[in-house]
Amino acid sequence: MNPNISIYKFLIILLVLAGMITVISCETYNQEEYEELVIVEAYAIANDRLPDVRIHTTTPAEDFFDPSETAITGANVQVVLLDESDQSEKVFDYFFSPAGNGIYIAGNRSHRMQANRTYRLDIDFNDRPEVIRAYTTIPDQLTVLNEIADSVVYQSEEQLEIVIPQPQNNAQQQVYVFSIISDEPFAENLTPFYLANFEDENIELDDVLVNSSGLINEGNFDINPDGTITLRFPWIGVAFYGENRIITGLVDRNLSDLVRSQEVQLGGSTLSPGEIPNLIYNIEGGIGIFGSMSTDTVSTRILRP
Amino acid sequence: MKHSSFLFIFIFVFGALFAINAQETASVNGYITDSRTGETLIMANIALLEINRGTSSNTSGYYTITNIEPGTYTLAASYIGYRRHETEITLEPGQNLRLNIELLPEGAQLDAIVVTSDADREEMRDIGRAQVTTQLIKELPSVIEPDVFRSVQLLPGVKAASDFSSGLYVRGGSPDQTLILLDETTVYNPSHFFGFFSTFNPDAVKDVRLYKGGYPAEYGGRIGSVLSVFNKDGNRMENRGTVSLGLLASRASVEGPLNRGSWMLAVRRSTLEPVLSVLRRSIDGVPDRFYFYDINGKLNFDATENDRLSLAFYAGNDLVSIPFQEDANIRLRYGNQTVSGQWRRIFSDRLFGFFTFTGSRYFNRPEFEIAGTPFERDNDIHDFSFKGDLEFLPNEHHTISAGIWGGNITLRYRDWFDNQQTFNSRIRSQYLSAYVQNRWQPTDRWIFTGGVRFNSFSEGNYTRFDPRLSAEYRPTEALRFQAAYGRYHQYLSLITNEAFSGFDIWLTSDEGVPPAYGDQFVLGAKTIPFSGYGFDIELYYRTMRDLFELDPFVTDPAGLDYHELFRFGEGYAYGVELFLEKQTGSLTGFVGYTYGITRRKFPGFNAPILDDPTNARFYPPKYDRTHDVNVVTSYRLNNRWSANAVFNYATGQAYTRPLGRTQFSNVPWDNASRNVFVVGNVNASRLPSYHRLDLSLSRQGSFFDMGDAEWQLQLINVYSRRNVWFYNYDFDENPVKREDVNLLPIIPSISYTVNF
Repeated sequence: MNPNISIYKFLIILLVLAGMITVISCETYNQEEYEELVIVEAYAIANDRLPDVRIHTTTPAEDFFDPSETAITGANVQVVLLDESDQSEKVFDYFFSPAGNGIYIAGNRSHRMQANRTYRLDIDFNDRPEVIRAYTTIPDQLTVLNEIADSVVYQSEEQLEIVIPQPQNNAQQQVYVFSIISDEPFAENLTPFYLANFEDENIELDDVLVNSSGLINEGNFDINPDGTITLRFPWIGVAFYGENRIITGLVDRNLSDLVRSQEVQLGGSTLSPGEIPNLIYNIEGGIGIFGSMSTDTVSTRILRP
Repeated sequence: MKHSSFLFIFIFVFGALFAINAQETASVNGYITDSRTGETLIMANIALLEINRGTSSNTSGYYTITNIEPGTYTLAASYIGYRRHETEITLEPGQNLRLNIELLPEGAQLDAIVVTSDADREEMRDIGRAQVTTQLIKELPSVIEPDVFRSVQLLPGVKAASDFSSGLYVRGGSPDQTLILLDETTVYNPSHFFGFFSTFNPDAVKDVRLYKGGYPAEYGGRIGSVLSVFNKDGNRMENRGTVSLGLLASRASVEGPLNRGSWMLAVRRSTLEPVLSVLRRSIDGVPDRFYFYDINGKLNFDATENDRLSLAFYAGNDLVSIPFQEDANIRLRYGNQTVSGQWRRIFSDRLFGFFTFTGSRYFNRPEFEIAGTPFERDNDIHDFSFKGDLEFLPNEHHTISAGIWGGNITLRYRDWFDNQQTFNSRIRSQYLSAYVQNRWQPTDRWIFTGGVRFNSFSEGNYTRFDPRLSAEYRPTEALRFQAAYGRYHQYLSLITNEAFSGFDIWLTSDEGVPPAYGDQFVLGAKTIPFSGYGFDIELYYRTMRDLFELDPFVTDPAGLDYHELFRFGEGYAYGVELFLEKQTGSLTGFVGYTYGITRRKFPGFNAPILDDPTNARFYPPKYDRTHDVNVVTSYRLNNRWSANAVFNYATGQAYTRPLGRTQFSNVPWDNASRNVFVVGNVNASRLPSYHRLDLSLSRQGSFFDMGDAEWQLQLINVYSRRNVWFYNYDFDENPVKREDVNLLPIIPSISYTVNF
């Protein structure tokens, strides 16, 4: 056989084989269609009263977003305090708030959320099939142990330090967050970094009235010989000179999962640009957050350098 | 199954040792080099025509043909880009003829204006292997600088993440699945200028060889592919140099002979400072400092007729410092340094060895300071190793290779937040690999290669065995069928940002973090359908298991155990590659087409939103591009002018189209609303198709009679296609507004090169 004809025959066979492989192996991985989901939003604070529960729905991504249009009425909401064997110890019924906006409030206004106790949120609907359940364990009560300086100089060597006891539940490392609320939120009081952003119209004053450090793992801080933890408030959180209240928070796993996954969703991590995951919700039957935290507040005056 | 397959390989490999021919035969061996420069030629073909016995030169440019019956023969040598060489030799019984061959480059004669060949080209590659010539690298239109990796990205099976990235995505694998070697030394972050192009200076490079898959037992440590780059040895005949001035970077190289050796030095540096200085007067956020440089050097010395020594080094550095806002700045410094010392010895006509000491360092130091709060990271790799490789030819049918590669790698990763060290990981591991492989050619038509590679990694105490098998059948001179299988292990993982390689971090296996591994199956055919043409087709299938990579949801590593930093998953990839090449005539070039699929799956990622999050689904990573076509052409208009064109078409990259949105307005510690998307299948949508045409025009001339000169005019993205890199979402608009973030627009460029 003419060698060139042999080659052509082999080439044709190979090309047909390759074409068959490409056709047969066509994988279908299609985009799903939008489905409306129920969203629950509730934040419990240790020693605070039962949290409000907001229930609403998602909106298609390309539609106009109006939170007031997504509120759900007609939900049956309960928060249950569980005992050590996860049995119901006390049930708190909720009612739709006259203020609307999908908010349900507890009938019991005297109960205080107990640190280190687990609560369960149960929701079902008169006119929807969803059944939603979520759990949160309130973190240990946070108490600032040290005497806070009346004033600190911005970006000085003496950083604002907060000493707290190590939490009882230290099986996993804890996650903290600092918030700072200015009592003198005027433009002329802005610190340089925030002033530059304000002048560039990247931010408005309202955006930094309450400024947060973001979630910070316990591992970032020193454990003292006496078992306490020293937290240093980072200067990046200070938006205003003058009188400020600093709130130290200890968050539960649900809040930590939600917030860190939300911060990653649209970039800034190792995900490729355009690769968007869902958040970590820890909710059964829906999405959202039933989280908790404990807090303590101190005050100081931030002085200009 | 596992034990019997290893037993088969053992017998296959060592059975050859008992087949040594004891008759008084002869042999011929030597080095094959470029006649003008003395540079050794890797994988050149050498054959004795009368008996149809042939071989290829190894990575040292050394060849040997043994067990030859005494007599007179025509020895023919060929190599792509060089004129075929034939010479008559006469061998006496027991003679070991040392014959060094010098090949004349094609087009070396003044009146040669086309690429010609005296015989059909035999440069057909082994399975999974591809080669890029340095000439092509320098001729192709390029952004800023000619680049080795961007040229490699044009080959079928190799994809780019974006116009801004020189990272290699080979057969569905991420960049860390390709082992990058420079003169046998591992390079950990081979990129400059935010990943825009690679650290390999085309003036210094001699050979670029990519094993896309199914690579043999002599390589290991990555589950995907191997890119082996060899720098020039230096001109053994005369002192030569090159200077090239470009818009944003310039380079210079010199080389020359030594007494019984050669030397080479090449430097490259960005020349952005004048541009930045002008921009800084009117634009905020322009870097205070922004430069990169690299230096390549090599020394060669022929200690004896049978012993060659070489010393090679590379050093490169990138520095950028940007005050991006009031009371906020970023500073980044990263780079690589490598050094290798090699001894090559011809022990006998049957035994060749090379022994290499290597050292490699990669460092990466990003620093931010925002409003008085510093964030710093420090990532270092130090890798020192020794390699020894032997090639033994017991008879004309067998070539046995064996070697070891052992070393010590130290990875340090430290984070500081607000001047407090928040994370400190130091891993020091010893690694050892050993391989043995036999290439058995029982007849002219069949070649079988079998081997096994043993790996061990002390951190975590891991030992693994990797079998490798390949077969080749040549029914005719112009047709080869090839098949290969291999298992591969990988102990390293690269944490990288596709947009910006300056923050790359390498992490290793350890206790609780087993090595990744995968199997590869490759089938291929390589043909010369017509004189001056080559046509290849390859089908591949890969598995990826125990993939470990930094969990994207770990935003703060402080206080976590090492294994808690990672997520563990799996993947696979398969595809078909077609490659048609025209090698002769005024018009040369190639067309490459790839149909490729790649998928990944990680628990807790891409699970149906209301399901158990461990029910994860496979999804395509962003760089999955189903169809990828590259057309590369070179046309020599006359002895002064030539033109080059590159056209690329690819399926749009995968992205996630948001389905729904919501907002969390009451997070207790801040007053900002947090906008959230709800998605379905991750990366189930496709960006618009990518296509781009680049042109370049070159004019050869002379520089004041002191040397040759070349002007090169380039136009990147000729019709200014605004390819989409990704979508950004602006929540300040309602409904949320999707914005395109585009890749490169049309870019003109000019460079001037002088060779003296």
